[in-house]
Amino acid sequence: MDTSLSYCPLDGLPIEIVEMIFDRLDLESLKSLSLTCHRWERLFLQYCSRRFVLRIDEKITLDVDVAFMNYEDRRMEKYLLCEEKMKVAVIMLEQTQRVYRTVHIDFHLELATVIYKLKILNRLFKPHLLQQLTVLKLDMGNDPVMHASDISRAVQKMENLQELYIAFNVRTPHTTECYTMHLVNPTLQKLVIKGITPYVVDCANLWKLDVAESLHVESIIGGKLQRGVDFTGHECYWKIDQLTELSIVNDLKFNLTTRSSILRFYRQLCNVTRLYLYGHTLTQETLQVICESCVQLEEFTIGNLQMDDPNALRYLSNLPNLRQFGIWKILNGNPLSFASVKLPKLEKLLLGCMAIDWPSLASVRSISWLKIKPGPVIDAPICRALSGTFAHLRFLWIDVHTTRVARELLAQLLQMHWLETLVLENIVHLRTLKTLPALPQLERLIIYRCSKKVYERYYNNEVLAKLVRDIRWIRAGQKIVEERGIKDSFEC
Amino acid sequence: MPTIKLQSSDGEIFDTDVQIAKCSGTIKTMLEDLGMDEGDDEVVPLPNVNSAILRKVLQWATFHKDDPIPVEDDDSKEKRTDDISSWDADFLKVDQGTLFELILAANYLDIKGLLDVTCKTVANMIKGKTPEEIRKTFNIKNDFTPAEEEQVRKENEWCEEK
Repeated sequence: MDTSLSYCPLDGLPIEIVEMIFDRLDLESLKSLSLTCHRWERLFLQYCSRRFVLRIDEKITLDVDVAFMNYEDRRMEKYLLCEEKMKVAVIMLEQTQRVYRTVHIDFHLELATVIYKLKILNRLFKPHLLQQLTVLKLDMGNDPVMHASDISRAVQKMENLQELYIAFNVRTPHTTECYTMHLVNPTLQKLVIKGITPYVVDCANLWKLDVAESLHVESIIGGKLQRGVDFTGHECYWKIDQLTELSIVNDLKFNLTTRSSILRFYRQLCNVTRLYLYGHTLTQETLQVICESCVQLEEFTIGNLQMDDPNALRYLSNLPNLRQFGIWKILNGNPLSFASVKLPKLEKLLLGCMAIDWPSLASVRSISWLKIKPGPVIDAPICRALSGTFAHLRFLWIDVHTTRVARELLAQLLQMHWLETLVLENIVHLRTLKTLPALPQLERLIIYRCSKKVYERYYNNEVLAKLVRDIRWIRAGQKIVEERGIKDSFEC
Repeated sequence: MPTIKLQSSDGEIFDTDVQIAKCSGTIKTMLEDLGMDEGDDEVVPLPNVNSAILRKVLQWATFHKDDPIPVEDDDSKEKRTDDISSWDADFLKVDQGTLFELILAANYLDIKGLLDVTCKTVANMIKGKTPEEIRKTFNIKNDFTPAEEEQVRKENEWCEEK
């Protein structure tokens, strides 16, 4: 190594090359580099927000000496250490000259006292810090009312905010309605809300909204909630007409379960292209309203559907752009039928564990991508569907829960000559994999969410490759969705 | 085999196989945009690369001429650095001045594979080292006061993976 240099050769590199080198370094090495001189600290900081985050959380690692302590004492020890940590965090936020773009504040362990939560929020929400924020994630733990108005005021002042995540741990349902949470921000694009229902969501550029909280439709479409106008003079109101993606994972309540209320809600969603409704039951009438109002839908997932007649899905034919459709459960005796469905652009279909009229799937045979979760009994129709109607599939994802189911279904794969990717979810026993026939056509096999035993033993791809011959690309694991390359086609 | 003439900053002419020269995105675009054909006696000037470095670059390109085009991946995760081939590792056993000139040349000539492997090599020179070891390696002058250094260390503690 040349140590006789009279200059630092790194200094001559343009910024894009510096960043290419940084891309190839781990965080610890980058931290070391930032400690060498002012210049490298500055370069590290510029780069930082792309890959790293300022995280203030309550994670405490206890010394080995405290192993003898009982639970209560250990909890107390954690409280004290957490208080120390928060003290340091407050000082750091007070003194920092750095620009933080991505910040994650995590109080979900509920070790930090309210005083320190407030102190940290106050420091973070000082004008010079909050104006730089582009991504803010707040896991607030309990007692939403304490912080809702502080957060609301700060969010309004964040001039560069693009993504916001707010989660509260909610222990009692009464705290979920929070009348002081108003999210008003012109630059915000993505919003995730858990454990709290903001009174106002008014963000003109918001296109993606994820709500994991029960919602009163009336409070979204405006005004008609019991309280009407809150103390700040705001009427409850969510601006949703510009949204292109909406996901609701919980109850969607209608105070007035009249058609007009449902209509008003879904008609506002006229720009939505991706709609995911889990955790509540859609009536057939609501399905009709959605299909008539949200005609731009490209992806649509329903958690539960209450069907009045077996052809309830016929309304889907009103969605000419629908590329992906998913349904997890139906709530009556009739098997789900696709007989009257006309969806020329449908590519992906996801079916949960329920009674399905398999022959009726012939009307959506254009799909190339299918996920199924068969029940405990495999009958001839499902086998015929796979080896006949869907013999041309390129992607098949089977959620298997018994070995017997797997054996019978996997035998059908011999007929699927175009199958490129096979995903097997919830494999419990190793012997299930041994029933997989030789499939020379397959390019990728993904063992997804397998049991720990399978995972540990077969995570090694070489072992898998020996077990399942002739397949070029095999991956196994709990978090396989993150594997590059397969991501797009695998996510649903 | 068709060849073209490349001229380094110090005036040396390199008769180069067209296929090898086209490993460089910059030269490829020049040839296509300027409509330069094989057999023309025109010379492609490369004013940012001297002859010693150009010779090295062409040596690398000759060995790698049949490599597939590397795929771009822009995820924000740390990229591997432990996959440098033994030929490349030997090729890059050079002094730091040459290594950094190779990076600049690979960047200017737009040769993704060479840029990638040289950046990896530099990253490996930093990985796992203490600040003092990095300073020694690259002749970096410490301009922090002890208090400033302590402040950076403290703030770094809050920086984590996403």
